[in-house]
Amino acid sequence: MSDENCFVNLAGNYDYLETGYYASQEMEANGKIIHPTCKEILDSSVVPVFLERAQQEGLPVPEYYITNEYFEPPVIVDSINPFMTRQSVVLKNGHQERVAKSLTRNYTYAICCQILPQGARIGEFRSVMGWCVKPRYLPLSREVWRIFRMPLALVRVIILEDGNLMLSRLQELSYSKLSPAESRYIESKVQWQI
Amino acid sequence: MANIGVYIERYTLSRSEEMGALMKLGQVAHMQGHRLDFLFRADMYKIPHYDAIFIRALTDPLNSSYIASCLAELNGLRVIDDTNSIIICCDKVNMYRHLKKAGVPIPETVFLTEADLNIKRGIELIDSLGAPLVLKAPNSSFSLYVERAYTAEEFVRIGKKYLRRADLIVAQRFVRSEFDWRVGVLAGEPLYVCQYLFPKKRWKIHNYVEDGKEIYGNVKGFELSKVSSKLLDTAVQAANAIGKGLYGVDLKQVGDQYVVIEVNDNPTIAEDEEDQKAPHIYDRLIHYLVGDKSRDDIPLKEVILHNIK
Repeated sequence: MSDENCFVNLAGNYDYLETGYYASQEMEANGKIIHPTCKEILDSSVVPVFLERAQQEGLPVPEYYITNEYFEPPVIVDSINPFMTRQSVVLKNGHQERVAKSLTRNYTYAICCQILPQGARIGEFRSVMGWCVKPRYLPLSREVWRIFRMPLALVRVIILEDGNLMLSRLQELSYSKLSPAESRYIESKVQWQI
Repeated sequence: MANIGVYIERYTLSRSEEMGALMKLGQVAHMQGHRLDFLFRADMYKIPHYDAIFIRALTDPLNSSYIASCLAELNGLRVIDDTNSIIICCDKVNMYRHLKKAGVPIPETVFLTEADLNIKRGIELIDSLGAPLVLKAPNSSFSLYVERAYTAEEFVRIGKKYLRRADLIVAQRFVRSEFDWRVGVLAGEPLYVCQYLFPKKRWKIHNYVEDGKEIYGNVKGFELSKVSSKLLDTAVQAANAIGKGLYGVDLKQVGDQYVVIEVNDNPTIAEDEEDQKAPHIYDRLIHYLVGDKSRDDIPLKEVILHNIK
């Protein structure tokens, strides 16, 4: 897919029904080619959908399941509901009930649980239009941009014992929080139209 | 034979009429040689093993129903509601943008940001659109977060309340109507017609009173052949502006004109309500889900008789 001749929404915060989201929606409504589209935003931010799409594209992701009650550590738990965007890492037994109750709003809504492989740890990197300051993350950053069309994202990854990476979640990365190097990269890729 | 999964949440089963409709759907599926299973949240991982998914749960892009829809699409299944319909219909700003673009008759509509929520702008809007103004939060459903503002002060108060839910809200001209219609549309064809009758002294079909009680109006069904073709055409035009799935189009009748108030994805289908004069609903739904368009027009009765023979 060519990156030329399209608009890129660089709001960074694309929360549903908020200004960044509506900026993309308005461009779509006016027939402009824009990334991310509303669907791209939602498919990237709803964790199980993100994981499923990544998996279908052959990218490494952890095993996951959806529940609203029982889960077994060690897991990363993400809320799935319109009222909160929260996550929790549960490594040991004894905390499941408290976390499930809180993230499901009293067992009403769903949670997504990603199984943490033994010896794995959680990390993150900043993806800026398929580029990353840290070369280690460059291939995954390219894929995030190619598949999900999210120009700015804080990417949560699971770092396996052997150093391999698994994609875990895309999160907000505001334009205002870009480093000088990241801003320069953006400047080299876009022409501003405000 | 097709395997059809009906994705439901437990609250879907709270009204016996909705459960009754699902049972009828199951009967029709079985009589046509298909299998129909109910899938709950914990069964989500089974979705790829089905041929089609019918979602009967509150849709919202941030709810599990959206995940069910996405999983179905990613695995090449036919699904009601598809993700685009959910994305458009669950956000009234997006929905009205689509309706406007397609030239569907809707009440005069403006989108407002926080900067618009002041007395001066309220007076301007009431002058231009008339009082009362109808204010809607974009992600409202079941008539929640829809209120009328008669004064600029009310406009500011309600508007600010709704802006806590989104960065844009909808303001519309209030349309006083003789009749309010709901037309069900499936794949660009009318499916059923009914009127949701307003409870006494209310202006919304579904009301919440102070003690938390919910008040519903009654439902009166009509045969498709007995209603104005203009009503059906307008409803189909509105549904087509969204997509080719299943929609419940709400229209107000003013004289012989019809104005679309909104298009709902995941419309209610309850036994002896929406199907009162449209018993073919279930047959049409099954055929849509299994992808057999050739039998779309066979009435339910004939299909049942055929299967009994």
